[in-house]
Amino acid sequence: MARVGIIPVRDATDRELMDISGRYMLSLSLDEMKAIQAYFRSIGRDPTDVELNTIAQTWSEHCYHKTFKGIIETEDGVIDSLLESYIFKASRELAKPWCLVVFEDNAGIIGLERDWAIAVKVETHNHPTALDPYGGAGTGTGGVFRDVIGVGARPILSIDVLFFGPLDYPYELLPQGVMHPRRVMRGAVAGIRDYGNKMGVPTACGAIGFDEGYVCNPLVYAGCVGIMPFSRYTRKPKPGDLIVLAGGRTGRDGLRGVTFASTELTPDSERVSAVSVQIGNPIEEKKLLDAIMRSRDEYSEPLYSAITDCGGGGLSSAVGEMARGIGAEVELSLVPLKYRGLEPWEIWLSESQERMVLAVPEENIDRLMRIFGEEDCEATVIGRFTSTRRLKVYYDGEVVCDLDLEFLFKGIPRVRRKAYWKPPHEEDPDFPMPEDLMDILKHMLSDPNIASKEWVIRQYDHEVQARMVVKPMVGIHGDGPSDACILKPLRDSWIGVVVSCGVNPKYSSHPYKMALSVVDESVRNNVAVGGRRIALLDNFSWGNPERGETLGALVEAVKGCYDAAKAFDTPFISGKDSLYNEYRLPDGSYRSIPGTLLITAVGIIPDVRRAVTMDFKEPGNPIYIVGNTRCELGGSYYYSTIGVRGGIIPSVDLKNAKLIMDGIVEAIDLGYVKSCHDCSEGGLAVALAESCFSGGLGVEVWLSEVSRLDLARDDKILFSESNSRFIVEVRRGREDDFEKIFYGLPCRKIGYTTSGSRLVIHGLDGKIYEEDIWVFKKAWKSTFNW
Amino acid sequence: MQVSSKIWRVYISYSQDVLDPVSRRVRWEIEDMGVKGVERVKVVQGFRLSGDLREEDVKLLCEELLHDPIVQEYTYFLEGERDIRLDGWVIEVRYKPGVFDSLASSVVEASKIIGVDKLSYVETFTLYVLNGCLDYDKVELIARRCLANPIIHDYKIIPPV
Repeated sequence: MARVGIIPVRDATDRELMDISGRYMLSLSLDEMKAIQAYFRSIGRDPTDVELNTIAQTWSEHCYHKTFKGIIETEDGVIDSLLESYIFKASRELAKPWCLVVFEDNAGIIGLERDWAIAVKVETHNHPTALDPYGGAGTGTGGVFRDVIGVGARPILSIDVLFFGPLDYPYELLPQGVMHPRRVMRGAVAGIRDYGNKMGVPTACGAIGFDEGYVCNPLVYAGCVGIMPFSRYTRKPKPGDLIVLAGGRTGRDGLRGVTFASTELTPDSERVSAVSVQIGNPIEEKKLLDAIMRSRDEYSEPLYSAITDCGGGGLSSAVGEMARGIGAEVELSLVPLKYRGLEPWEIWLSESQERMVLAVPEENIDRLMRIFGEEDCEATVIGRFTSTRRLKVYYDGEVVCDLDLEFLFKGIPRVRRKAYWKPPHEEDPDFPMPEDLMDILKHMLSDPNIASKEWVIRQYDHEVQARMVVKPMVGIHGDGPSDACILKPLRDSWIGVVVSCGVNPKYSSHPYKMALSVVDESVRNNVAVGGRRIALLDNFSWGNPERGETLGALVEAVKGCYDAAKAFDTPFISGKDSLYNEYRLPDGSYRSIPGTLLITAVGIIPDVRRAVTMDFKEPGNPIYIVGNTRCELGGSYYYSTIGVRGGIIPSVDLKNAKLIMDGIVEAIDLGYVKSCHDCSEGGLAVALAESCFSGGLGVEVWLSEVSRLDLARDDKILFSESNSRFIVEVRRGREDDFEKIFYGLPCRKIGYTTSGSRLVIHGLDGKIYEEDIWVFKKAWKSTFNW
Repeated sequence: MQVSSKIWRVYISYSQDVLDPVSRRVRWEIEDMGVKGVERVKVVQGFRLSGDLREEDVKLLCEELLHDPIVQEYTYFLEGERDIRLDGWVIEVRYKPGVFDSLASSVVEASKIIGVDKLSYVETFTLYVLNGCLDYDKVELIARRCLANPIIHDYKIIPPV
């Protein structure tokens, strides 16, 4: 007798239905439970625990994106699916022929050159990292690698963007069961390091930020770029194909991670969710990768007809997704286990790491098994795809799950939520200008958000695979902050892949402008080194969407994504959302993260030898600022450093921004640009200081020359965080050519580089601000001298 | 008592006269996490080896697999028969049952390659040997704040004899 429970839902009252949802940790709403009840009433029986869990996994926020696909009522009307109405719509309208696979598979795929394509995915792994930073961040990295392997690509870059609570957060204020941000950060960095380094994937792109909102809910975005011959891309399992489970063995670890992700963390999370935590095994994944790459390439066609990562939801989700439109039969007793004693539903739902599912035509199975054997990677046939349109699961020959796939994927009632949004009142505060701006600049450079992250970056191997052209640290001493990284993925071509990111939770009080700003930042960083033809990935980490104002903010951010993507001509190719990033305290109050939107930009550069870095190159070159500086200091580091509240969050002049980006790329291609750095956190002043000490050169500039709107104060010109601005060091004698490119756009020569080590700034009324560049560098490097 | 139920304990640590970056790092982190008074930290990587193992097998495992002969030293003994005295407060941290231990699984796999085929099961743990101005509460604070995560680890505090 199979160890399967039957759960009586047909005669359950509403209250009992919610009891069942709670008792089995299904995280389903009453509407959803009622839909399940109606289905089982119609087929005249009650569900098994395997069936109920399968439905809960498939309908979870993590797998189905209920909120993003739901119906949202706002004050300006009803939005029928945020994804369809904004994110997908932008990609559809831009209709780029080089976008090969967009929002359809585990990763987005874009063309590179000839048959070569680039696969990209960025995921979040926030909840597991809160519980165990090392294991959580490590398996986040391992998981996103598998997303890329799951489209048949080889990982060539690991991306990591992390947010933690303030490093000096007092221990007394930490809620019970919450780890100190310092510990979370060290654990998460070590987890990412160990996975990437041990698997031989360079970790070279990312960002780290700190804010009180992340004390209870740290954020880990893990991304991966892969390369593949697109002719080897296949995702069409056919009836009759065998279902092969490959890689690590299945255990009880990571059960229900998916439904767990749709709940808030509480002090009890520690107790109930221990099984959701996993520790990765990069060596196992490397074997899996090698075996899959050989199965892809060794014969005239890939040996598999489809492949997918066995991630959130385990087999139930991997096999279910692949069986969509056809059908599948699985025998769970064939699944290799780490240890005995697992219940059928546990085998079916386990999220044990380092596993993938392949659909293999019967005639290829011997070849495939031989390759996996040679790579010392376990692979087992656990079932077969059918044409029944049903998902049928057996344990020891007995049926434990028999679901109509149509119901499984289309039976979920659409979520209906209400969203409210009131734009914040913004006003620039009035305060006297501080005396010592250079001292303030020094403080800003040592702010953990701006300070050098060399301690982290040096732990990551960014040289392995030998493809890195522009590294995360640049300049004469190899320690300046690069705007983006460039990889040269092919041996026989100079083409490069340019990867950058943009994120700024300090702007979250105005989510629409935040979205414009972070798209601008990601594109700006890409363009600054010579990237173009950019594709974007969106990752939202948000609070509980069942609260109207939280959802309202999310809607605003999504609208900003659409407008910015259209204006910059940059389609979205993949994305992911992580909602419910909240911590419920014993007294019932909650702490939510600031809505955090990460945009990852992936561009190309036709010839990596043309790439430009941010460090000043030689003395006596003219320095230009491109783009307008406005009175936009809301959420700025200047205001937070001197303790001023309020201000106007930076927006983007969408028409001019695109023209400015195009101009920079053209100037780089024509060889006029010696160095280029974007102005972002800390504004013009921080950008100048960074370019100076990275290049070991001084600079002399006049603020009166900066093209500005409504600004007449030295401090605000220096520290405004207006978007779409670049500091460009132009080749001597090419000033006229450079200016011609920006005809009609804000582009002004503000000074020149000098051979000394002084940063000299002439204020509007003749006051001179001056400091040694090495003093700045010391401040910038002192924060993380761990 | 069956022979196969014997468990060998192995301790690996950096040799006295070489730089021990791991221990140094842990000491720094304890201080960085706001706990003062720790003067010395020694980190010992521990293994519990089960299976029908002869002493030669254990020695071979230590020599060829578990320790780095250039900078580390090892010691082994039968659990229950003897114990090694560690000088100071000891915090023993191990994974909770059911948490995947990748180091242990690598050791089992690699033992076959070097020809020890009787090693059936491995558990790993870490010993942190602390010296300084310490008492039970402080050591417990160090364990909770810096060294063990109660979600995945069990820990045990052994006061100095």
